Amino acid sequence: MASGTTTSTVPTDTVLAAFVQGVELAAVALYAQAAVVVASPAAVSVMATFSAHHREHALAFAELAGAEALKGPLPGVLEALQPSSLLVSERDGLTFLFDVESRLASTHQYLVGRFTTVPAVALACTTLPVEGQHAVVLGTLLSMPLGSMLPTVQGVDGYLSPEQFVSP
Amino acid sequence: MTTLPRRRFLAAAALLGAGVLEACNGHGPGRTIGAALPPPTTSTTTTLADIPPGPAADVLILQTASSIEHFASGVYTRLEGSQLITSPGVLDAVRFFADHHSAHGSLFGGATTRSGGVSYTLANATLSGPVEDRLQAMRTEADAVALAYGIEAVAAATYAFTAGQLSDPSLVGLMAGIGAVEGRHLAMLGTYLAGLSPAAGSATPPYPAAGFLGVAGAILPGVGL
Repeated sequence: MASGTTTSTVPTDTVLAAFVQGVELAAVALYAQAAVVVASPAAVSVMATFSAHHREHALAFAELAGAEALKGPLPGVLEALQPSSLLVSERDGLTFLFDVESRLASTHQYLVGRFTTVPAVALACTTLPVEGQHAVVLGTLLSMPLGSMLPTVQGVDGYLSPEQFVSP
Repeated sequence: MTTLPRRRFLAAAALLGAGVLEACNGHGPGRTIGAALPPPTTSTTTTLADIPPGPAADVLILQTASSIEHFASGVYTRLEGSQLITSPGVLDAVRFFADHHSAHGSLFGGATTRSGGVSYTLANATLSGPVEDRLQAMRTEADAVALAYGIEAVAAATYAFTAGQLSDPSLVGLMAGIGAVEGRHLAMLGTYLAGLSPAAGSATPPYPAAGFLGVAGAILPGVGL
């Protein structure tokens, strides 16, 4: 679970959207980081596609954020999502990205109920399932058991909160 | 609480249908992935357009979701017993997904009751009619998986669309969270059908090419009850 100080003000949808943009840009950077240990054609192809998806997600949330949009990934998020140990094999890389996608899905799930405008809810609802689909495909590459890839309901384990990473 | 602009939008969306949400989400025309089922009709006794935003509308949305889950659960049970699915991995997934849909039906039913409505326990009638022919025509494991894929696509699209129509913010997370899992089912089934990196234009991809789930195949609230 995310922890940290909370602010007394409720973030607006534009602030939340900018946060998601920063998270998505962090994901793009993390895919590039993991790419150095991934060589099999199937994994390389999937990673290129998913990285492009995250770039598109970032663009869409930046559009929603308007003037609040960020210039790059949130440094705190990038640090929080770093692998816990050095990536030395393709399996390490894919496992790391599976965890990243799982935390992104949790973050979208956490935020979807906090958005208050229809465009924001609609965008979150069409982005969230795709993060989960990324996790399933990466989990399939890792031959993970069904239960590890397919929760009964999307949860919020490991979510990232704007209060933790964005200054008020 | 939901803001006024959102509520005003929702009233308009209810009158105009799913296309409103698609037009307003900034991502162009619908991209529902592989929804193989016929488009639903809107001929039903009660639709969202008949009800002002609020608890009664939420109940209708939840009842419709329940009807989809009962439908899906029933179809998966039929698929499991069809003898067409012989690959162990596919059979495991079908059983797993059947359990999920049963659980989702219970969750939506509980939420319906908490919202002041009556839990809906029947399969969606609009979806059930056409699928019977599909069940009878199945000849291969791929036919069975493709049918399941179409059902998951309708469910995922419906929940992604209707989550934004709920007035009670606490229900938005439930709807989105279940819809996200239907999306994961789609990914698993799409991988069986089209592989991890599907060809461009595949009808059954494990994820949408553009990176956003389409909602064009969504069932409108009240349809099929």
